[in-house]
Amino acid sequence: MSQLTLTGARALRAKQAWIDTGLRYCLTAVCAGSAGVHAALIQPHFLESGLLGSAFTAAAIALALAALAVRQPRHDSWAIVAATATLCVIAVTYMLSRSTGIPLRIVQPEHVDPLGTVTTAAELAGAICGAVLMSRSVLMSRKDET
Amino acid sequence: MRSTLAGRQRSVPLAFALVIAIIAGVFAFTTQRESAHAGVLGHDHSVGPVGLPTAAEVAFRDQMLRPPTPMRAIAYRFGANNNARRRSGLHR
Repeated sequence: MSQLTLTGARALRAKQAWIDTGLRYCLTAVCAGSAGVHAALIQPHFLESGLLGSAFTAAAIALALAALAVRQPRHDSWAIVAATATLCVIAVTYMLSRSTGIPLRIVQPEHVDPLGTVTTAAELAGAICGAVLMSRSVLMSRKDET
Repeated sequence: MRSTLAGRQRSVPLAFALVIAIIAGVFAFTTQRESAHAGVLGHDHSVGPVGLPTAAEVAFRDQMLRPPTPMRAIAYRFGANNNARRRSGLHR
């Protein structure tokens, strides 16, 4: 193998690493941003209902932990899956609260609001980033085996 | 082995996540407060479906149509607002 080929392979790997890092930045930003939004909305929801406030508190904590865990590559074996699942669950919960309602928490569907729509769209985009990161890591491990 | 093949991945700085979370939280708090103040959003379950007037709008309209003070009632009686007089039952 020539020196030129080795340099090219190194450049390609560095580029792939940067793609993963970019996706990690996106996923972390989405988790942290969504955690901030949910944390800011805890108090008004506690005024409305204790259960709803508790749900917002749990969502904010889960998203903050996901953002903390997913930012470090050493937690990749579980953090990306957990962050993606958390984002999906919260996005689906928002959509349910605006369409059919959530049993015991939101009996009557609420209005669609711009803040919630933007947050949910960002969460879905973050979940896609997480799925891409997971698939890339699976592909890389398969490549390493061969 | 995998890390050498895939290249060294960098972790995201904690400061980045914190700044994003704080900006999003402040933005959400401000937006929610302004919307609740304007009666656009809020969490008032007494409001109707999208497109219908909200409870705050209905209350405001009722307040404008009904004579809340004796002086306004007298003004209505002497023809200040025929529509309001009819609705408020002062036309007799």
